[in-house]
Amino acid sequence: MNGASLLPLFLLAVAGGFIAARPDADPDRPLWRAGVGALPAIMLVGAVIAAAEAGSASARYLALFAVLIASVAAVLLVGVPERRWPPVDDEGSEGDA
Amino acid sequence: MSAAFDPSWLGARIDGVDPSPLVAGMWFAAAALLLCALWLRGHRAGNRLALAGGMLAVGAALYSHDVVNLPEIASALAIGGSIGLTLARRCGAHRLPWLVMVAYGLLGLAGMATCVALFLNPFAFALVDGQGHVMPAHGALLMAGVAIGGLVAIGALMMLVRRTQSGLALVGSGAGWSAAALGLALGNSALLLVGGMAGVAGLRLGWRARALGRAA
Repeated sequence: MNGASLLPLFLLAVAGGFIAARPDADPDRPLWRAGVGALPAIMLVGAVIAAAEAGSASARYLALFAVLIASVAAVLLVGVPERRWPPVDDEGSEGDA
Repeated sequence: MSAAFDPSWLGARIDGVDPSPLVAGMWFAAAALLLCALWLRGHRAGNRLALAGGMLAVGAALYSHDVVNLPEIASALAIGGSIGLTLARRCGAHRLPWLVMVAYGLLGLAGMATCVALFLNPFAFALVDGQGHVMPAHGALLMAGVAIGGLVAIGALMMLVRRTQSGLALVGSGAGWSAAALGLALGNSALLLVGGMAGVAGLRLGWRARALGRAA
């Protein structure tokens, strides 16, 4: 694999991320509720690749541990922003947090 | 085939698996979905597009590799997904921001564990030279992945202890850079594209939040 051939893709990703992170996109939502929060969950793919071809027992179990905690994080980062916000108490009125 | 047209840069050929336009298309569709999620981050659809892109990328990874332990991987995905879903549904609404920080910390740990797993088994991913040693460039990338993942985990832990959310964008940016380093080491275009996008976007948002904090 020629790593230098990936540099154009990397520069493309840098430009795309800089443009997409425009400042006026989320006036109502805090950052932790925005779609950008779920992007680092791509780490799950790296963990799956490492687990798929891991040969030794130690590498395999380490990669499977990475898959486990990355899947927890991926579901949290996608699922938490789907919750209702701001919080609503038992009587139906909105909280102040 | 000349090096200029080597399809391996698409991430479609790893470790002897033949180049596949289908796999390359899946990788780039996943990257496009995640770019749309970043662009639509102010809308609810952004998270769902990110979920679709992530699932497509996981499917492409499983399809394009010789998977030696699919039951274990599926079990880990099911157990981890169940834990995450239970936490996301049951946790109190006021604790949700802190749950996101826990997720970033777990991503940092996952990055560290993945890079160490690659160190332990470099032959499977063609990270070695003729003498069987890990090539310096790949070693440096994996070390960077371990270091950035550790910083993300420690940063998320410190933010949890200090009960502050001021560095949230930077922690997310670090997780993205760790994924990008892993993508460069593995030669995987989707990891590189999405990790780089998340890293730069987190840096820009974090810089802007810091500037707003100074102005306030």
